[in-house]
Amino acid sequence: MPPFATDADREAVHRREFADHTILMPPNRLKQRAARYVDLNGHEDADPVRRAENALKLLSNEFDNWMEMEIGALEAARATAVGANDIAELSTLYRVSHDIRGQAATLGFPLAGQLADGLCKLIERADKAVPSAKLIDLHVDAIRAMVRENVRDRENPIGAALVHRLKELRGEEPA
Amino acid sequence: MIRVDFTKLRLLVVDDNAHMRRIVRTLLHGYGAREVYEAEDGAAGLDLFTSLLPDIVITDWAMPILDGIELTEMIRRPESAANPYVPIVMLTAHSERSQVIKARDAGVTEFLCKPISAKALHQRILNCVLNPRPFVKTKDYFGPDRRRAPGGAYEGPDRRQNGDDNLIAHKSDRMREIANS
Repeated sequence: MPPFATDADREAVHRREFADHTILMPPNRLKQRAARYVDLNGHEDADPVRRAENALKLLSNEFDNWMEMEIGALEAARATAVGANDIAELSTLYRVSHDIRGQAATLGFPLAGQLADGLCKLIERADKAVPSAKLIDLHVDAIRAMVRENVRDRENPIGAALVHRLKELRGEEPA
Repeated sequence: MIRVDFTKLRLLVVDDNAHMRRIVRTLLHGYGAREVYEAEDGAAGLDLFTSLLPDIVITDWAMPILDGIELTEMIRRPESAANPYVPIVMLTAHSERSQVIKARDAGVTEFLCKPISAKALHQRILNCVLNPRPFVKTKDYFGPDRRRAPGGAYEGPDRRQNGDDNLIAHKSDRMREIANS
């Protein structure tokens, strides 16, 4: 049964009142229900983290296709941003870039993730004025190139140089 | 050693990106979870939260309609008929300190930056199950104790005055370990 499904559950919360706050300690039903002692010498189940990593490895067959889809969404978002006069008009581009910065490394393209992070920062730090279209294009083109050229190594010299140069152009590194 | 039996947990994943939902679901199934539900935005997440009463919510931040912060604020209503104490793990590409603080002040239990890793997500869920923090209710905050150590880092205007340090001190060493891990 899920926790706090009844009034009785609610009444089980231990309360301590102080001058400007209350401390509440709900009963830990999750621990009661789901925690268990295991004997690692007794052929217990495999490490759950390793099992999850293996499951992710199996799923990774789909990652290239997913990354292509994200790049397609990025291109479409760039098209919506052409000629934008207001930062609000970049919201789609920001949302797609934000997705890529969060998952590109998991999908095998860490430098594309760093570039997308840079594009997000460019938009986040713009104060009402729309960032230059050229700088936006440079970021989108660089992300697309990383995927097209299959740059998966974080230490790839050309990829790393591109990341660094775009940082300079955003004013985050001295040129 | 203590393990968490994921077959006993009901989990809700809220993320507007289908690929990320699939990745999180895959990891959760890998840990052994069977009951994993998904919502593609905060509003759908809130709807599923109230109908399914999940044990743990894992939510993205940036989502249409209702974002992860707003979802957390909707859940953390002390008089809510659903479970206002539910552990909430915020899984997000936002990583700046100001954003972590904003999530904490909304009542998020654990914060996890993307890119996701099997180990980090597992550790956050273990924290939720095995080492929950007490909740604090003030005039304008309701959520997990924001102090992870005695005299902790929270220095905001709503820092509570005194009187309960001993109450939470027994958890502090463990929380410091977790925060530094």
